[in-house]
Amino acid sequence: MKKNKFLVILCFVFYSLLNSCADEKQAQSRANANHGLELYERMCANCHQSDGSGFVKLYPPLKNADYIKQNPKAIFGIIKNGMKGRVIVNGIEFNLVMPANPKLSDKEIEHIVEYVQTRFLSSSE
Amino acid sequence: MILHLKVLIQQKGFLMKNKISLFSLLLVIMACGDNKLPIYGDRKVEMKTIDGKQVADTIYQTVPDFEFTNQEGKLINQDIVKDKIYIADFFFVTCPTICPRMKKNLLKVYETFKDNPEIMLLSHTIDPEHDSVSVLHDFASRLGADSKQWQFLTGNREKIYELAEHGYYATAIADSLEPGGYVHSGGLILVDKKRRVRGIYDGTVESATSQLILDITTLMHEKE
Repeated sequence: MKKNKFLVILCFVFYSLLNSCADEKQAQSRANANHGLELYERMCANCHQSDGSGFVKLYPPLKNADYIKQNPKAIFGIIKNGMKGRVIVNGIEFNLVMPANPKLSDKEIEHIVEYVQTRFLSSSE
Repeated sequence: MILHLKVLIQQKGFLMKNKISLFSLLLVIMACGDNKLPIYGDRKVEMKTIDGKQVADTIYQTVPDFEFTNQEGKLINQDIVKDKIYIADFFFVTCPTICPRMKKNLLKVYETFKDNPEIMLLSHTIDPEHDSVSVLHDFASRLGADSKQWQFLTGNREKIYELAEHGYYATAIADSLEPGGYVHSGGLILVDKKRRVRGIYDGTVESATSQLILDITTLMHEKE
């Protein structure tokens, strides 16, 4: 009987620990998303717009961009090192230089990528 | 944005330090009173004799003569804006900060007055080393500015910077620490048919651009 009681308490402790871990994870991912949004607005939205629609034939859209869907791993490097040369996004050719972002840390870039992926490229959109 | 602290002219009505005397500032404020757009810059009064009578004539500061190359590779000068109201701005193609927003707002102005022979737009590059005729041509056509009504100008760097500062009260400074390499004002400068500056608007702000569109219409109906 005593053994059983101890087991119940142990389970309870373990369960709450697990829960708080999940809560922490959720809070962390929310914080990352907010950070991603803040960075996106500051570093990207001038050209690509807040809604990811891009601007005329100068700055390509990110929203439902086939180019990123086909090259999901490329986006990190593009933000970090910039991009030069012709690129076709959703059927339109773009050819302006995108500057590199040497001041952004890898973590910050990851948050932007995450934001772009969930806000503009998730299939539910 | 913080990156552009050196943007000296933020919105219509804000005058550049040291450029305009207190006296002309006072005149600008007085001119605002009767629903007329202000006239920027220094002025002097000269006495003229007309029909034997002494008459006071006010001489206003005007945008100096200029000569630059447009996106078609043609040399153009002040004659292109003769008897026209025009909007001038300073930008560069690879600018990652304020220019995209300025161009988006300017496109609105362009589309509002498209095919109106009274209105022109002059966009000057402040990075002429990069923004050659072909780069400007490509930029203009991508923007959808496909007529002579919107001129993209390149030329001697010093002359462009000098015109920005002394002709249009705008700033352009090369600064390697800035994203893109330059600090410049995001002003859209409204100039009347006599080449006098009549308004400076923050081209990065939508409401300021709407005011510019209203003021262009006001200027079109102005009687001298």
